[in-house]
Amino acid sequence: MSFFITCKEATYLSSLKEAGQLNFKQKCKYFVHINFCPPCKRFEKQLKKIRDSILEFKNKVKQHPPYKMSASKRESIQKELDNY
Amino acid sequence: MKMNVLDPKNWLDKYADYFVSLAMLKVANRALAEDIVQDTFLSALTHIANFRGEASEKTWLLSILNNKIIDSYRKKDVLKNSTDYLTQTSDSFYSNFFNKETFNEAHWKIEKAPNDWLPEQEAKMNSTEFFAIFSLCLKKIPEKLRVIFIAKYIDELDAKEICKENEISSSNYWVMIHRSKLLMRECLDKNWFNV
Repeated sequence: MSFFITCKEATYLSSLKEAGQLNFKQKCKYFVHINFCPPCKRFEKQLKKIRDSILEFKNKVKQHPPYKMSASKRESIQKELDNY
Repeated sequence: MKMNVLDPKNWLDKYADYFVSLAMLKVANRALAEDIVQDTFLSALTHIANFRGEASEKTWLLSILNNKIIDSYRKKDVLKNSTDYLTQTSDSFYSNFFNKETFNEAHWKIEKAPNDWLPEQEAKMNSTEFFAIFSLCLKKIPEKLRVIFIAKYIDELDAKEICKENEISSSNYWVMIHRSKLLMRECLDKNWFNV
């Protein structure tokens, strides 16, 4: 079994790494690959950035919802709630 | 213990925009998002007797909203036959991104290899415009993969929970996460970072 892995495998392992589920052998292989392969390193970094921005957005949505419910929809729902 | 009570007359003011925004993230369709929220409130009204006052009103409504959103984007048995699906589409999927595995060299296709993102575009990844693009990219991901991507990245569930809830094996899970990440990154790359 080769010590070197492909980019396909490295990008696959990056999810296991994020979840802390790499075994020792996989860790070594991943670490070696990522240090010699800028695109795979970017892949990991960019996915982390995507994840962080989703979390940030979810928090922001609570304080300042970017979308507003349309007035007509609001009205028709309010009628139903008032009937209750 | 303080018992929580429901106050339907104020639901719209308190939650309407927040819920519509949450739904938009996953369904990327304004009319559908509003329908889902309406459905949530009406369904809450009809099940008002089930509210025991242990959770807060907001938590209770959010759980109904989440179920309604899930119902809207996934069919009941969407993850059935995942193994067949993943096997049958494997070659055609990966050959989009990587060169053929000769001599163990399945490296990135040159035009698909991730490049650095522009810092000024990265800085705007918390904007509403970015999330409009994100939601559209989400919609483009094949349904089976999308369900898993949303569970992990938006609902923040861990691998075990997702496998259990969707009745998929852990090896299928990791393959689906791998694929959905490749697709999402590429779509954002094209539509947000290289415009």
